[in-house]
Amino acid sequence: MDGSKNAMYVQAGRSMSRSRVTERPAARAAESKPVAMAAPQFATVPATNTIPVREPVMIPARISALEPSPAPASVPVQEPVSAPVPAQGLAPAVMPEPARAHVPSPAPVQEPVSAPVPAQGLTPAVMPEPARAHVPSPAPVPVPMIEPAAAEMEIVLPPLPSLPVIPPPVTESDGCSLLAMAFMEIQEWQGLYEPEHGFSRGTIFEDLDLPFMGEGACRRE
Amino acid sequence: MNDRMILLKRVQVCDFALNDAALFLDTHPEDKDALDFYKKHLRLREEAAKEYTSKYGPITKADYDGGPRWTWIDGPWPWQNEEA
Amino acid sequence: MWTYTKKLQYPVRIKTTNPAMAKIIMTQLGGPDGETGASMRYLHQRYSCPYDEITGVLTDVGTEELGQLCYQ
Repeated sequence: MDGSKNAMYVQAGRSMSRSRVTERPAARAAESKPVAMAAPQFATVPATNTIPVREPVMIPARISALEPSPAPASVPVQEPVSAPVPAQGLAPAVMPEPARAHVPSPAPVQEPVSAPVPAQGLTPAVMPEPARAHVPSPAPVPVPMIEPAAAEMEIVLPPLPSLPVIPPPVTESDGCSLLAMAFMEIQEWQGLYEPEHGFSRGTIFEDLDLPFMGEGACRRE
Repeated sequence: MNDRMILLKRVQVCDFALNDAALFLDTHPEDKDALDFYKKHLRLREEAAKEYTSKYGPITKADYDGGPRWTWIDGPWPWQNEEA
Repeated sequence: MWTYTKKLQYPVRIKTTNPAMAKIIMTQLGGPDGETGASMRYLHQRYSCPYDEITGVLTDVGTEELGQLCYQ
């Protein structure tokens, strides 16, 4: 698979073999001597370039002649996170644990065991996605991925204009990138319960006093 | 519920309210109402805890009262049933 | 680091043991989506947070999840 890997880097402009020969001007300026190894090159690459915004497609030779209009917006290796995040008060998929980790309270012999999780409506509001996913900006119609057989692989680069324009990720000055944003109403300091009542309801905020839904939830009003 | 459970429950309720308010304050660090609420219940919690620990032993290791015995190890531990 | 407070978060007294319920509880506590895993994930995600508010939330929620483990 070395050949294909090189092809991807060719497209993104960062060929592993290339970097030994052709150094980036910025990197060259930063170093007094040209460095023969590939590793230090990557160390000086600024954060915006570590994640390629567009990955090329491996197109089998026979397809390359076709009009490449359905160029895939995203590549198998990275799943887009922006499965539409509902805007109104629902936790995005990044935090499934609090919603499911509750003991259904059942038989009258036992008082509820699980303590409240006030995190339901609150935490995802400012929580960026754990550093895994790469979110493209509004992608066009998702297109089926072309998975060519390895045997017929030919390194053909699709013409660039047909690819969607995805801006590079926003980079903060300290080098960390904005990966995802969750949208949710800001919680206000309102609707407070008395502590004892809140204790039995599981939260002191009326806004967060919501019923458990879904499988495994016991209704116990 | 006996007296011990009543006093302990008061501490539990205060702790719970403080916990929930703390989670709110984590994302609203400058909210004056929330800060006042937290201060008030912190004081209530201190009183409830002092009342409990003076009669029934420490809740945290820092509640050591200076006595001749390390009462931290004394039962019942929280998971042990009252009746058992 | 964490301080152990010698009380339950919510008063519980088990009058009758129930193996089926115990099994459900153990699944909630351990297992792939259990409390244990959740609290560890929250607590470990703190170290790479760019914002203080998030670190605070993760700390508090992770601690609370740990507290829910202490029913054993």
